Amino acid sequence: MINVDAILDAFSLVLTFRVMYWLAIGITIGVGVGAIPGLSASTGIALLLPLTFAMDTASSLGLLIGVYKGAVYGGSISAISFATPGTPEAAATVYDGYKMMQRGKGKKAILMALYASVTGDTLSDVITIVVAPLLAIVALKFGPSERFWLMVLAVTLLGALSGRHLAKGMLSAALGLFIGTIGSDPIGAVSRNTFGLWWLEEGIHLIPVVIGIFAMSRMLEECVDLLKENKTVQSAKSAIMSAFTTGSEGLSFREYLSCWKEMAIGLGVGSFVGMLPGLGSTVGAFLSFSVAKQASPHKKIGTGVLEGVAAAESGNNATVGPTLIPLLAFGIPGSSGAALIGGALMLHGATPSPMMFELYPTVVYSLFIILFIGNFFNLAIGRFFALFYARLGQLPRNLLIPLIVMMAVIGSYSFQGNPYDVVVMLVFGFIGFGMRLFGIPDAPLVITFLIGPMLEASLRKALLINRGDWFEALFKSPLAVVLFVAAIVLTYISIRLQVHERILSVSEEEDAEQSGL
Amino acid sequence: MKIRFKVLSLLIFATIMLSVASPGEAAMKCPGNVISWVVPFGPGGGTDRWARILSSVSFDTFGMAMRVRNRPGASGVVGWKWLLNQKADGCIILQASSTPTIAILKEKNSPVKASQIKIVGYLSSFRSILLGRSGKPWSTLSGLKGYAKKNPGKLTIGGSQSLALGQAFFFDQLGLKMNLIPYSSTGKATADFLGKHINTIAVTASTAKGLVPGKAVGIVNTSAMPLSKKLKNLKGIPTAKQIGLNGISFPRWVGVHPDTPDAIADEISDNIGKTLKHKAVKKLIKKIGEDIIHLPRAKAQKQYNKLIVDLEGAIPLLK
Amino acid sequence: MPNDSVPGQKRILRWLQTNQGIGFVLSLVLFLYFIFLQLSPWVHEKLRDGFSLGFFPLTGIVLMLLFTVTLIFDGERNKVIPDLTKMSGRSFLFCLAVLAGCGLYFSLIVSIGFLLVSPFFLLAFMYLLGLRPFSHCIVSGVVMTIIVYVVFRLIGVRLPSGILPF
Repeated sequence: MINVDAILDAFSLVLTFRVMYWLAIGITIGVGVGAIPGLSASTGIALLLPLTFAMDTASSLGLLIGVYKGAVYGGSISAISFATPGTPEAAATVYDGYKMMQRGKGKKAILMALYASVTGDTLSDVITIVVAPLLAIVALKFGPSERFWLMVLAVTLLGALSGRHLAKGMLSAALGLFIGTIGSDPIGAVSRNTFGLWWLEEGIHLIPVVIGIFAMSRMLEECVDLLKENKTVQSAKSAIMSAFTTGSEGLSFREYLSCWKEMAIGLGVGSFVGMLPGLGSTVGAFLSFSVAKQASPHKKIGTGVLEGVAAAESGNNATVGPTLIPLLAFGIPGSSGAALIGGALMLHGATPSPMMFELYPTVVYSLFIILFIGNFFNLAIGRFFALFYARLGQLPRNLLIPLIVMMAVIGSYSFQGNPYDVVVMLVFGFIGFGMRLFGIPDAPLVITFLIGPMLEASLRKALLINRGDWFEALFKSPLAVVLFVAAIVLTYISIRLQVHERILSVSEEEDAEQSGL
Repeated sequence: MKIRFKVLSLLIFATIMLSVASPGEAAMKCPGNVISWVVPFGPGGGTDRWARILSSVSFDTFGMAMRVRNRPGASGVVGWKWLLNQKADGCIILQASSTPTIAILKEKNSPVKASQIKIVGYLSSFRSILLGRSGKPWSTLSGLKGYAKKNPGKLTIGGSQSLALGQAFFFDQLGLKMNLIPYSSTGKATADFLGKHINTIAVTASTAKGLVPGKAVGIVNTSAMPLSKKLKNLKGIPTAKQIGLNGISFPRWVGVHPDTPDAIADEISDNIGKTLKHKAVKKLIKKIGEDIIHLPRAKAQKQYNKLIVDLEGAIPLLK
Repeated sequence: MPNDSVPGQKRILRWLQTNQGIGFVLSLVLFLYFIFLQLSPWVHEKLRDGFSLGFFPLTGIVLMLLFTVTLIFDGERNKVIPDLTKMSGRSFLFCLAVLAGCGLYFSLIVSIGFLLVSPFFLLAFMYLLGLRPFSHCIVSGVVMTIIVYVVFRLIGVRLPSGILPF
């Protein structure tokens, strides 16, 4: 099965100065692109794709995979520094990361994000390399019925993200479902719920929604606070200088190790989500975050702790390698980033297809080697960016808020150059602001907005295939039944944990009140 | 070869990154000597890839720089609508596929009409090719007809929206009822086909090439155009025309503002012809797994008008 | 707890700041929207798989309605939402102004150009948020605009050039 000659060939192709050079350039651009809101991994790859026309295969893979890896990590830098997820997959990092930044622990959080990203990425790459062909077969077992239950499973994890007041969390989830129905009907291809606006025919894209809800709404809130304080910065110069000269605490090896459990959760959830076509790294990050939250309620994930950053970041980076599995095994891209890498492979004559391993073994192994080595480049280059951004995040708010608002506007526009995306971003900025005022959590909205349409499409496809027979559509295969049972068990555990957590928090509150008296 | 690639890369760099204009000998005059080549989809997709390849030789063929501008949104309608608000001087050219045409035809409130474009050429066309698994009763067209007659509406066909429409159009003419399962991308449909969740799948020639033989066999090509002889394994499958039916295929069309003078439209059509004959373009298009199927202005416009009529008949079949 | 000395208008205002008040207002809005959707003809269009076109959007509304009604009756109904109390009419108007300003800023960068408009947007915004002296606002606005422009250019993303040739 393993083609030793091809592996040796691949090593000699990849381990050259030229490939390493392009890999380093790719990661540098990737981290930069990722850190800018609106520009995601796939935008970065798409922009650089024309450059690879004239490169050799290994160099172009180095460049593109570098961008992919760099961007998925890069998103977290601005999520932590400015509460503005650079890429949607970094949205889950905002919860703990930004709170740490506000407490002056930004550098620690960004370094944790980097190490967790690299850890999740490296280990998931090993999984990809070792079990790619086998995993791909498992992934194919997931048809519409199985995917439906998988989505239900993901939704049952929502409880953990709902915060203290369950009704508000569920309200947010329902709103996400509703927004997800805007656009076209997945079966009839007729536009629906577009409020009569023709430009909503394609639906609403995740990126302006995430920028609006996470960045814009927070900035509005901070504006209000700033105005209340009525504090003026007398000297912008000295404030800027102090941001760049005051040192902040780094991350110790012990702290890194203490998050092993969250990184392992991220690795598991991320790799699994990554190998199934369509789910993507945003779902990976949020699911891993909520599983980690449920697994250890005492760690108070979501209140500004390292563990939250570790779970979210290892969860999204762990999807990078596995999204290539369906591409390499069947020619089916698991994400838009993987689709673009597939496009680049095609340009170099290695069209991704079920015969990929037999026809182009050297290309496949080169890709694996680059995937693996890229992580170490990411570590070195990411560290440099991390330290710089951690300082940027300390700049006075009067200076930062306008900059972030400007980036939100041009970021949502440059995502695809569609002016209506800016409108969507502003509307969601307002909705997000309202939700923050009323204490409605935003995570359930993002999750159901992403999963809702997939859940609906899977259910309706399963029903169409089984010609309207609900039982057949839902429980046709043993895998579907297993997933159904898992969903029930998970709901039960989740409810029990929630009740336990609520009792704990109520008693803590009572203690606090008593001691306050 | 390396030298050619270097030249090519320089050209690409020049056009995409800098878009610096240099004086050429074109009869058509554009501001700054730059043509805007509008792609109504995001960067990185199929249309975008075509556009960037064509723009890499624009100095040779159009005599001026070509700037690729992505204006996506609402399945390509945002870019189209934008074009209609620009000057009709031929300096802004829209390259699209059947996606925005379909989107306009199915949307009641659409701000654009599908006919509001002056087609200056077809670059290529997708054929909707139906694949099945070998050994199944429906893996040949005659077997499929027999099976579908006995079990109306049972046989599932998966595919992206336009390719599924092609199949709907074809089987409607045969009077057979099929179970169409629309997917958001061919990739997702392929995954379900390989996982045996659906019976057949509608794909383009390049996807079919990767799946046949081994994982699938070809059943029918619903267009009027036969496949290129190089696709040996798909050579034998019948086309709609061979069966005596009305074929449908999905073009990669290029168009300009409907008020553009005919002389300018003809000139653009000629330049597109020259571009598609350029060696570097031929090579790169082949590399992205697509065929050049060029139609000049008059022929393309005629085909496009027919496409609108055919699509108007086919779209309600998905609903 | 309702206080007798508080005049009626203020009492209503305070009630609106509780979960129950918010739940009531949201429920009312959602209910009206539900009725509006029910009256829209597209909602009842039947598709070939038996679902109506409006089934899933309506499900979303009904679920939202369910949880806003829960807010009216559940155990935390009388809790005052702390963030709402600190919100004044003035700060709400300011938020709307920021959003409108962003819309205006965007339409201006499309027509006039990113490089020409952004410094003014930034300096005005910074000044409003209390950055002093004014000269620092000007310098920061110009420097930030140039940095952002250069970074985008390096990556290869074009920001709207407007009336400028670059």
